[in-house]
Amino acid sequence: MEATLTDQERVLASPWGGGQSPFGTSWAKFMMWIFIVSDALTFAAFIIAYGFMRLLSPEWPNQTEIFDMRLITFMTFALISSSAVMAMAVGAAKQGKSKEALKFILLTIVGGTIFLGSQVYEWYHFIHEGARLDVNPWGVPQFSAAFFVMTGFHGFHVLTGLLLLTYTAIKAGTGRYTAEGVEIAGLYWHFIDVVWVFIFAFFYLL
Amino acid sequence: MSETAHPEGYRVYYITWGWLLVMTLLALGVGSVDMSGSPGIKALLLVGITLAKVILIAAVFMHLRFEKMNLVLITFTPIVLSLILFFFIFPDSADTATRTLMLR
Repeated sequence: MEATLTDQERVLASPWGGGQSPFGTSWAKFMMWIFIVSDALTFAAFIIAYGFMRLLSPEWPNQTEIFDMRLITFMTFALISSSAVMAMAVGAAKQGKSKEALKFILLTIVGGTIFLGSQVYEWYHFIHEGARLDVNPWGVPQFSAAFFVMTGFHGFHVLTGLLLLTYTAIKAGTGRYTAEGVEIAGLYWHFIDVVWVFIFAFFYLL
Repeated sequence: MSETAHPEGYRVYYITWGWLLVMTLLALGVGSVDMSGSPGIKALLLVGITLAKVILIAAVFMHLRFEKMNLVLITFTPIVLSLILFFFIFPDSADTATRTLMLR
């Protein structure tokens, strides 16, 4: 009996016994991580499906002849820079410097808007030249499908991220923000950056 | 104290930012080189650069280096799934029957 109690006490004292987070984070931050992992699974499936289609296709269009790589590089720079600035916003928020945090969040929004604007321009150009979800003027239709699905899904995430950042900026501007709120918004924004790193390498460069 | 901590606090982000931009240019260079004779090497180089960038973003920007190991391990789940999909499904792309079915 006494041994059982000791076991029970040991379990309760362990990180998995309840009353404390086994992951050493708050529930909100942990939920964002769980969301990021599940969302990453979706993007992983997209990228693997794209790779499969590409290997299956007898030929694949040369991306550099279709896309303006200067624009794609500029977009990548804008998104990476916004991610770096967002990391600084989290740092400022944790130090209690609300004005500085707000400034960095606004800069992140500018970077994200530049990226999204460039993507809209790219889509407009692509559609204008006759590309559709199942039509590709340059060869196999799988190319257009992969482009629209991957960049479209990612672009939707950027738009959602911008809305989240705007909400965070309003809260920071009115002094109702928490450092953790900024950090959670930052986690989502960095995840968007991570996904783009994969799309940039595997869809545009490979 | 906070005056001196301030620039030091952002320094690591500036350095990471710089490395990410350098690696982006490196990936762009690899992508623009014609390696039609050895596409495997090009893919391997791009995977390497991409993983280095992702690890840098996750460790520094997302503060994973300060998190507990069990949280870090959770973030590996999509990579495991990708490897399973890669090794289980990709061999089918060389299969003639699959090609005929998918591309008709």
